[in-house]
Amino acid sequence: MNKPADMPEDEEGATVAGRIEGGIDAIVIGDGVDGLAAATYLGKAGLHTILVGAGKEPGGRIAVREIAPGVEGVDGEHLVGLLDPEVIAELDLYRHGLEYAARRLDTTYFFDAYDALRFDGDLSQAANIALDDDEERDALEAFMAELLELSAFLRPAFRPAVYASGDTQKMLGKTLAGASSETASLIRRYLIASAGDVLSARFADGPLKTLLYSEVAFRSASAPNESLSFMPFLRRLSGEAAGLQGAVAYPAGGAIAVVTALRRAAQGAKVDVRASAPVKSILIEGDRVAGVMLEDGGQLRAPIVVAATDASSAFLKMIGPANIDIELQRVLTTQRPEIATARLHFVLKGVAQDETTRANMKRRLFYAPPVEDVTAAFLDARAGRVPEKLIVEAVFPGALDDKLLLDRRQLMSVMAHPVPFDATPDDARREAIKNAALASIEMFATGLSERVETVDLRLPGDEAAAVGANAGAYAAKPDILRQWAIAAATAASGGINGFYFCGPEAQIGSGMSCSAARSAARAALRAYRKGHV
Amino acid sequence: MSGQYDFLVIGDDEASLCAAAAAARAGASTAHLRINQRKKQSGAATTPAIPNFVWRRLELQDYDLTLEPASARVTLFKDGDPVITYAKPRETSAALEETGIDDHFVWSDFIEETNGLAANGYLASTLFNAGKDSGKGIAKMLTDPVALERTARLFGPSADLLNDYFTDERLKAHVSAHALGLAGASDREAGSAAALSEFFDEDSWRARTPKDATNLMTVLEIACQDAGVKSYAGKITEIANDGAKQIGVSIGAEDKIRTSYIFFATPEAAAAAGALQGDGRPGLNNTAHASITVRFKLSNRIEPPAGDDKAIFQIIDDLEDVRDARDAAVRGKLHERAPVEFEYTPNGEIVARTAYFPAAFFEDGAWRGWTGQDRQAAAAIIKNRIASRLPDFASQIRRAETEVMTPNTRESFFEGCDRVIVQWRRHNAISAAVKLIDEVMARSE
Repeated sequence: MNKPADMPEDEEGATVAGRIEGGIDAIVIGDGVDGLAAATYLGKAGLHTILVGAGKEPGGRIAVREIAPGVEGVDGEHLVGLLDPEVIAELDLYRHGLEYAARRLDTTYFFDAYDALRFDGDLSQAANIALDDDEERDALEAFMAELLELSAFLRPAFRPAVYASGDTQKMLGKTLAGASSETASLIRRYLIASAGDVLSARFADGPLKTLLYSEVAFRSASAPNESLSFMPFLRRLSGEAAGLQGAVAYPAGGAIAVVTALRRAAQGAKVDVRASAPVKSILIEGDRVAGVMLEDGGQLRAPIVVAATDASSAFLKMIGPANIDIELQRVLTTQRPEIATARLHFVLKGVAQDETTRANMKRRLFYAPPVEDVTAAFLDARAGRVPEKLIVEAVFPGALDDKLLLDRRQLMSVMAHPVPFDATPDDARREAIKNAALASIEMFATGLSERVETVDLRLPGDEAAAVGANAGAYAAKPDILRQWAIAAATAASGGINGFYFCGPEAQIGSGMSCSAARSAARAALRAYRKGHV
Repeated sequence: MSGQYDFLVIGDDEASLCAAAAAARAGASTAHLRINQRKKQSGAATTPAIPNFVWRRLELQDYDLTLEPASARVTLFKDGDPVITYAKPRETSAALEETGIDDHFVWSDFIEETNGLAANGYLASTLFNAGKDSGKGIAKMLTDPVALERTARLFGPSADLLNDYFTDERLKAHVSAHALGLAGASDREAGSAAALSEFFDEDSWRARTPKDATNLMTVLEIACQDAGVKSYAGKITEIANDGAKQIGVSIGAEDKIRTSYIFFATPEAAAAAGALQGDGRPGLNNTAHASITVRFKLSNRIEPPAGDDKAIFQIIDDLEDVRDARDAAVRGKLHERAPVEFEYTPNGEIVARTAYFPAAFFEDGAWRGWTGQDRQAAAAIIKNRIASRLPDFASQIRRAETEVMTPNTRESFFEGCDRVIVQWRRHNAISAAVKLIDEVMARSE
């Protein structure tokens, strides 16, 4: 799908066993979007950069896979909402082929107890929803306006590894220090409060509170009735899609389009991309990095190494506990993820005929279970049980993008949340998750089960196995303070000169962002230019 | 009667009286309002300790006041020996060693870290308190990895903290039950570490009035008078919040006063007055929980199964009880194995409490409030829990008085009034209340 014709086929074997390759300025480990972006930044700056990836194709967890005979689906993500606009601009991703099949995706919310709500545009476009209660609508507009403003203000705080580079730190300090006391007290409140408390203070029980409760909880590990659970929503709203803050967009061809554009950009930046080249260890000499040793025995030597793999692979496996400080070790080993998001593809027989359904299929469909059921779902998932009802986000790639239309069948791409995190789920667990997701989808698409031809489930363990990573890195992100703390700890890179980290733990919030890659690459370039590496 | 004050402190508890007296001694014109005149007894046999700075400020040495620290914290498990810890870390490690708990050698380290986390002043002020420099505080936190890690730890789940130090499941369960019981929290919920570290603050160790000594409340009432606190009693009938710097408060039919701030030293005081509680502080998810106290008058004294009658007891089967009961409360259900805390009053009564019951009940797809039946069911659970640990308890009960305190969620006089200050549920309630009122004074200057 969408593979550019001019892309050279990957050569067999990345290095020759036992051979040491030098003359390299920078090595990037990991060929996901962050690895590609980091390598492109370095290559663009004129550094001889080699990207080594474990998989056969660059992309990491974002990959095209055959879901059923003749049906391809994209793993990992289906929408774009957080992709850093500065990365898009600086790496020229639009020129390299990134385009959107649908911008500012309209959302239809489905409930158990209320009629569906259709938003034309995102949540801040409350004026466009059919809601009888004007007061509630005004409350939503005011609330979203406040949140959008605040989240834009907080954007520097959501940049990963804020302190790794002096200038970002200064900028963040300046921005926040300039906050009025009202803004500061709002930030404090939204940081500490639970989503339930924030929403109850603004909305009466009803569809708006229900949908916001689910939106805030979606993809988060923080139960929405617990402290620190609201802030991740501000993180999401701080993102942009197709230039619109807080919106989501569907890239032409699906999320893989981001990978494709980044590959082209990397190629344009003369990055030497080597696939099927798993790294065995990162070479450390004294207090600085010296290169990497590949699984096949070859060595690549360079003064800069950027790791875009998960933190425990990078620090505990490739660098080794002996070379990193005890505090970072503790941060990495005490993580016990409990919550995950399930990624599903449904291949459906037949094509919807009626106009309403067809119109709905061009939208982001979101099922918001009753507030009590969402609370219960988090309790269940944390206790290792598959919840009865899941929050569901569904899109129909074929309806959003003509090129993805199937013949007499339809593909539905779904994210369902929360499910228990399990690094190696057994078949019974998988079945239970599929059934729970399907039951939740049935709540808004009655009779859909009968049309299901294939159900394909991807859990963090599957994604991790595909790229040789630690499954925990793909679990739902922990509370926001913990995310910040881990990002800060990993960005310090264990005090190893020339080593930079931009794996999933360096990123605040879920979804593709590439902010971490940008931070890491810029820090590396600064050190390179100053002659520090 | 009318009057004009800087503070109107409302609440029938020790923390409120201390805050009122302390504010008055610091030069603020202060009034204190008692709402419930019938209530003469405190809800518990023990109170949070009075820290030295409050003792000095109120010159309590001049009063006939004797307090003794609670002797120990005891957890009565379903099977096996109880776990007992003491105020002094050294005493605790020795006791743990004696009972064969291997974790005894890290107890002091654990206390050191929790104290360090709780004492980290600027974390607390960054996240809790308003002020013109608070934006700077947040920036500082976000740009300092060490501060960030400490903050994340302080506001994370207490299980993380405990697992870092201890392997003994009974010790972990003991600490969790005692530290989290106040708010009805779970050791796996965000923010419970904050409650845990506050629990080990020096000012959190509870104290009791010995038998035949003057009641602490009585002493504090006199101290308030001596400090010049004007005392009112009655129900609030109206609050005039005209957006000005002063609020008008009508008490009963006659009294109309004006005040700059209304101050609640505890969420219980706020709930009793019908004020909305502050929103969920970390680890203190108090909007989801009711707090219940049952006072049992007994025909005959019952000896405690461990420790002595000056100790504070917790009943749990294991750590799962803490988690399950909290989860049940969140779902709006009573839980049979809810953790129950109890203590002996000087005259041999048993006062038991739990905060692990729901603020409201979720039944047939809808929420409803507490009924008489629920009170009975809740009291029965508490009774059964104690009976499972104290043989003969059930047969010795002469009378049981149940009090249920649910967070106020109804509309109230206080709605939309930003000059109402509510302290959240604290282990070190007295110390925290006095510090908070001091801070408000400093801010408004």
